[in-house]
Amino acid sequence: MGLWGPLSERYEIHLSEVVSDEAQFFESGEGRKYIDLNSLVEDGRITISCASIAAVKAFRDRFDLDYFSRLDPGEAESLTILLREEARYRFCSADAIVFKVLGNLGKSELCISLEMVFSQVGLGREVDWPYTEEFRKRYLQEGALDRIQDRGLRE
Amino acid sequence: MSLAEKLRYARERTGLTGSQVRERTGIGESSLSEFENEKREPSLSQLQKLAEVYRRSLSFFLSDEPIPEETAVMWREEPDNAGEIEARFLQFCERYHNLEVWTAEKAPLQLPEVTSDAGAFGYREASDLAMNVWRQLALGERPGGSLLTVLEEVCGVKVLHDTFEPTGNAACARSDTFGGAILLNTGSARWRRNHDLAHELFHLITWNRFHGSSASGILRPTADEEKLATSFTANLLMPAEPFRSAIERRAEDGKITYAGLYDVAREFDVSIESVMWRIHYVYGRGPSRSDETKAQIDAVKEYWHLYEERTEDTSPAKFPDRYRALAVKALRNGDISVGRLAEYLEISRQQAMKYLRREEAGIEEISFATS
Repeated sequence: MGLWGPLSERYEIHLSEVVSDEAQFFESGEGRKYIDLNSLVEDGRITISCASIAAVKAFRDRFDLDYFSRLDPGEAESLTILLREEARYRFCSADAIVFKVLGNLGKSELCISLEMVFSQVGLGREVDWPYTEEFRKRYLQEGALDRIQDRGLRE
Repeated sequence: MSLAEKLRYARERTGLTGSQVRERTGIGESSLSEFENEKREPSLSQLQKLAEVYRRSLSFFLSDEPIPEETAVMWREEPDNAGEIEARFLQFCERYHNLEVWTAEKAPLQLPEVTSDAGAFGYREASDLAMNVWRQLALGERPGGSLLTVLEEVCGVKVLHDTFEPTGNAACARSDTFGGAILLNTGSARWRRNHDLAHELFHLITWNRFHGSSASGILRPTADEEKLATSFTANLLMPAEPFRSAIERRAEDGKITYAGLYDVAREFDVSIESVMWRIHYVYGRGPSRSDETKAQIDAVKEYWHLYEERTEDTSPAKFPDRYRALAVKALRNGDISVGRLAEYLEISRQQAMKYLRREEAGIEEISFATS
């Protein structure tokens, strides 16, 4: 799509180790295409970050088990890293549950939609619903509502 | 309990060796040994790979709590790799239950239950129980066609189709958390699966009667229990009146042709052997004529191949439609992530994303008001 260049010039891109392990390929109309993350990492265009098990466990312990279980391990690790480095990172996601968790934690400023990312680098384009700013805001609000109604957090 | 202890426990429970784990995760045996002996901690990425292979949630390993008592699985015949199959089955049950909780979708009807204080339980009781279940679940005159759907959609029984040996084998599990669950063999013919489904249903309903509510580990039904389950199955899948009517429509002078037996078996979606035993009981031939019925079955078996060649359905989907629908609903409600959906349905993330792009299809409405 020719997006890596402009994006990596403007942003530091970090991926959690679990997510990078999962991001092996994508499917296009021409079949399965493998993603060569190693070359992007070697070029310094992507940094792989990881969280210790103790840190993820501490993150997990902030939530009701039922709430934590809705996240996949890649997101759990990404959110753990995000909260550790919150002064530096913003989480770009298309997952409602990520926005809900951040809304619940009162950390709405730590996430960004892909639509906003594109806009900031001058690549304004139509994106699917989960990548929109409206999607992000909707689920941040739902997370905030969970917090008000005392759902999800243990603390 | 430490992470190391849980890692060892989970591996041993599935029956996997260090070398099998290496083949499936790429984690070397020496590293695995270090993790299990608390000499080194795995990275989260490694832990995730191990959790996937052991069919456990990440939370199982992150928790400091002792290992909860494992849900008992009842096998008719325990296969060699029972540990691995059970792990897949119980993971499915746990995930299915999670989806029900996250989407707040409860099954409308509870399975009936025979408790331990129900007194003597023999063939008469098994037959009565089948009739009660048949009526309560409104299975109709050909229950083989509706049993699976009713159990899944109405009673919330969790039915997983998996591939294992031997093919004529099935299992069930019951827990206070997820309710009843049945494991059927993908490799069995449809009418065989119908039989297994009804048979395992009997074990679920009478679980507490024969094994108590606190059973754990691997359970084997007793020989008597199996005979009662077979009686229940025949009564449930071939209710007496519709069955008698189907036989008599094809009989002449108290005789029915092999072709007629095949037609009845097809109509009720059961095996020809099941039909012949049902004739034995419905027409009151009694124990004294059992050998005669066995001889008749042996005679028909010679021609079995001419009649059992029913059009086989395609292999059943591994996951029930209800399970998949709940997973997609949870995603569209924003209750689970795309990655979670991909895991639960064993599909790629990109395939999972397609469900999200089609979100509108799930929320558009039609009106059915009459005015």
